[in-house]
Amino acid sequence: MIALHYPRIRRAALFLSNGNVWDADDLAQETLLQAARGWSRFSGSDRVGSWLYTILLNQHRRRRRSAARFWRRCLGWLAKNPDNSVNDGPDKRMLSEEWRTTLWSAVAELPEPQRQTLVLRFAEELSYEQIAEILGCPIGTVKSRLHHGLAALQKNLANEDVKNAR
Amino acid sequence: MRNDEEFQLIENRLSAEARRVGTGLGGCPSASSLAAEFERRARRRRRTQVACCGAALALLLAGLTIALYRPVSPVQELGRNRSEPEPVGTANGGASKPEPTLVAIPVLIASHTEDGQPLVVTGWYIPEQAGIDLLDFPPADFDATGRLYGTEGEATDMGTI
Repeated sequence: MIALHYPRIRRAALFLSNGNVWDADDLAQETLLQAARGWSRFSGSDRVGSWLYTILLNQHRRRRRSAARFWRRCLGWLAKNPDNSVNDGPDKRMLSEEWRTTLWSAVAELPEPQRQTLVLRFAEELSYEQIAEILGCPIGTVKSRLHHGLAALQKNLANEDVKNAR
Repeated sequence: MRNDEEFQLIENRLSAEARRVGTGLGGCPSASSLAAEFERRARRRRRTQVACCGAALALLLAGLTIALYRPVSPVQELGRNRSEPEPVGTANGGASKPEPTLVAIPVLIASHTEDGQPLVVTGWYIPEQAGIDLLDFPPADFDATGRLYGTEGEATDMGTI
């Protein structure tokens, strides 16, 4: 199960964590840990992927809500430096630098529901039905969130174009 | 350009960038190394949590100490030195009235007006720590006190009230 789902979960975690590889690894591992704890209660073995995404999003929401987020970030930063910067390797550092040039860095500014929907749709390439199942909302809501998210991104891009033109 | 077409451009860009970034993440580590990594992170998290809690506790204690600390007033300082008793309550009605502390008791002290009439003024009595210096006690005040207490003319060696 890990070999099958971990890369996807980790990738989704990366997009949810705004390209922070450290946070993404943490989030993905917490998701797997929660899944392992709840595995005996899980019955729909054919929908493991959706179930894991649901856990991932819940974990992500929980982390964002947590009052200790600020401290965790500080501690994460402290923990990463200097030893981890060596352990992270050049690939991870390059990934962080590359992230800033992508449109996904603008997605991080969107409200959480829109952001999650965009990640599931365009990073994970899930169908509307799957996204609705994971988020626990109607398909119409999924489409609406996508529309608003894309419109916000479009507006951002237009503003950037105006700035660059000046 | 219509909105839908522009959305399509953004959608394509998001998908392409997601694929590009996703390939940089690499594959799945082995279960054993994943478990070891998770254990390492959990240990580090615990360590940092303990350090943070310790720091917060130290800050709290420091804050409490600062909040509860009261500097020793000059009266108390002098009161400890029995060889230099400090007057408590003064004839001018307390212009140099010592600051009351937790153990100070308000008292009435006999004094006199300018025309020699007896007068009672307020003062602070700090048990066993402050006294009245008889040498500095003006004779008029001493007389007024005597008249009030009925001990006129009796000079005692009272160092404290």
